[in-house]
Amino acid sequence: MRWLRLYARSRQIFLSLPAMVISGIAVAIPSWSGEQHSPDARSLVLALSAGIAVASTGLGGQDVRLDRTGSLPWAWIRAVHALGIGMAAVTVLLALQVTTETTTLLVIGRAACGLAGLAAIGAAVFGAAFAWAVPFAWCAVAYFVPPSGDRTVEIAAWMFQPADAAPSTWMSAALLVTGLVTYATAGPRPSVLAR
Amino acid sequence: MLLTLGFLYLISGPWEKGPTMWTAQWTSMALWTRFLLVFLWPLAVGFGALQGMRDHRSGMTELLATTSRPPLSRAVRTAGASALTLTAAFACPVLLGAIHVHTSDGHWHTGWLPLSLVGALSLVAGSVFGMGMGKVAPSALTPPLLAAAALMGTLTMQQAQDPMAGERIVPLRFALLSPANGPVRDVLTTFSASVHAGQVIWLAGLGTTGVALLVAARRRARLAAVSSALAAGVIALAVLPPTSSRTYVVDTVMAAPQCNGRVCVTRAHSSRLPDLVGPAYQALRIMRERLGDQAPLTMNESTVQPAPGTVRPRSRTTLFLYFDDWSVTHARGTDLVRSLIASGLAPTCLSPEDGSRRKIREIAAQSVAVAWATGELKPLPGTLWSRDEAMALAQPVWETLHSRPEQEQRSKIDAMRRAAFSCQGDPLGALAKGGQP
Repeated sequence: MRWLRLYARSRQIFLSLPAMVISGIAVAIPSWSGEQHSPDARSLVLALSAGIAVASTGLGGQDVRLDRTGSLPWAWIRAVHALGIGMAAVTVLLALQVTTETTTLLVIGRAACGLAGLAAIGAAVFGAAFAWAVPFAWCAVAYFVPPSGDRTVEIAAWMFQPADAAPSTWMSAALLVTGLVTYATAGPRPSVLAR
Repeated sequence: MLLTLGFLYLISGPWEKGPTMWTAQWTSMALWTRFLLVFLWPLAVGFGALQGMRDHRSGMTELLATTSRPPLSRAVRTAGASALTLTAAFACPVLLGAIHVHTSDGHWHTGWLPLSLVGALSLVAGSVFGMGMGKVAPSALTPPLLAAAALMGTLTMQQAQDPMAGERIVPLRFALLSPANGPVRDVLTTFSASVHAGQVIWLAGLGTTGVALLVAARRRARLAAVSSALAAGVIALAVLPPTSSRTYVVDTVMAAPQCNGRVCVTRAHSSRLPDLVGPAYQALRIMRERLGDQAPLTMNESTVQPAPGTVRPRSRTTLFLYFDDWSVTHARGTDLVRSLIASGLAPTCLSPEDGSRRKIREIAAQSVAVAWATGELKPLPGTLWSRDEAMALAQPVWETLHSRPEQEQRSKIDAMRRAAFSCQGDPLGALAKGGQP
């Protein structure tokens, strides 16, 4: 347990959890203030991406090269961390009771998987300090793509498509698998910003 | 820059089609590129924060403090470098759009330059501000938190900046502080000068705060820097216009009428005037023959964009043209004559994109009216998707009308025109049974 606590502190997990909660609250406020409609899936996915982006800064520690010298099963630890980011983001949203519709929950779940994979890819390719930019930028741009049944749109803006769009689900799964595999095997890229 | 270009070219949306597309006119090009600031600006702020964090994260602050170069010059260098890069990156899509507009029939004027310049300034100010915040709070969480907060800000304010917005979440004055404007609704609307002034003041304040935060060493200096941002914000809010009517003005240069006798279009569409003149005079002549004194005398392009829920203005003496109506933009020759007669006899009450039952009945009524004026029933141009239904409704009504005496035909047409001009009642029903005094 001690190791877990130290790891969490070094990866700023205790700081990113409140940030996730705040972004979830910001999106859930309209539905709490008495208006009957629950927030739609698009804003929820956006809040999810903000939470995952904030947590993804912890995908690399203060000294990546020093971490690698430790004789721990780093591949497993990294994979669990990346998956944990996605699951924590979804759990925070569920705990805030933002929605009860199954389709919205499916959309959120799919988005969390894919965005966690994207964050892992970002950490492996650019380094942990820049890893937030990849899922965040993709989400921000895709938010403005007008919905249409076009397959290109379903793949490009996969996080905002309805729950039954198959190409989007495949895209999310592909991103998750690629992200986990790349990040677990290669690890975060060492950069000066992660000291 | 890649994001902007990819977005504008690859994704189809309201910016790609119709008369308000981003390559149609200079103003709409400038406004659409600024629309994209909604996600570009938060990214600029986030990356600025990353840049500001560098000194602290690499442990160089003390080392750099021992150098003789003053911190202001160091800060200005870094800020200047990112300013140049961002301006160049924003200028690329603007230049590409400019080439498009220049080669198509856009009318040149300088009114769009303030829009793009303020857009570039906003990127620079945002990134410098992010740098300052990164220096103040060098935690790794700062860039994504700042970027997420900025995105939420620009999103909510963009919804409020839509000229057609019914109910705004934030007051328009506050929303104008964000550089990302709402979607472009028509070619002739642009921002007024006080909007530009207010936004420049606010952005300059943000930039100054960023530089001051980069330079400040003590807490008192940092507080002073933040207060400068607040002061700039307050002044900007005082300068920015409070109401929608003072914010969105009709672009006077683009809306200036270009006339050929009794047919006038705005300067924005002046390239269409030659094609329009012949059919327009023919349509006016036919209407004068059939309606006598009640025919419209002139034809003007309207510069009024009605608020949502209201109908377009109409007049019995002037025929108002709208270039976002497909039946006008894509018709030529005798087709154009017929669609002009339709607008003159029975102007539409619903928007061109409406596909409801009422719209189909309206199209049928217009077809019958045109048939009465020209003598034969043919489908109206530009009504592809509802053509068969409208024809099916129009055919029996036309046959009944055609078989009545001239007096009765005229009174039915008058009844239909009353229904169409007041937008109450059913024009097709008035044609079928109206006319009894």
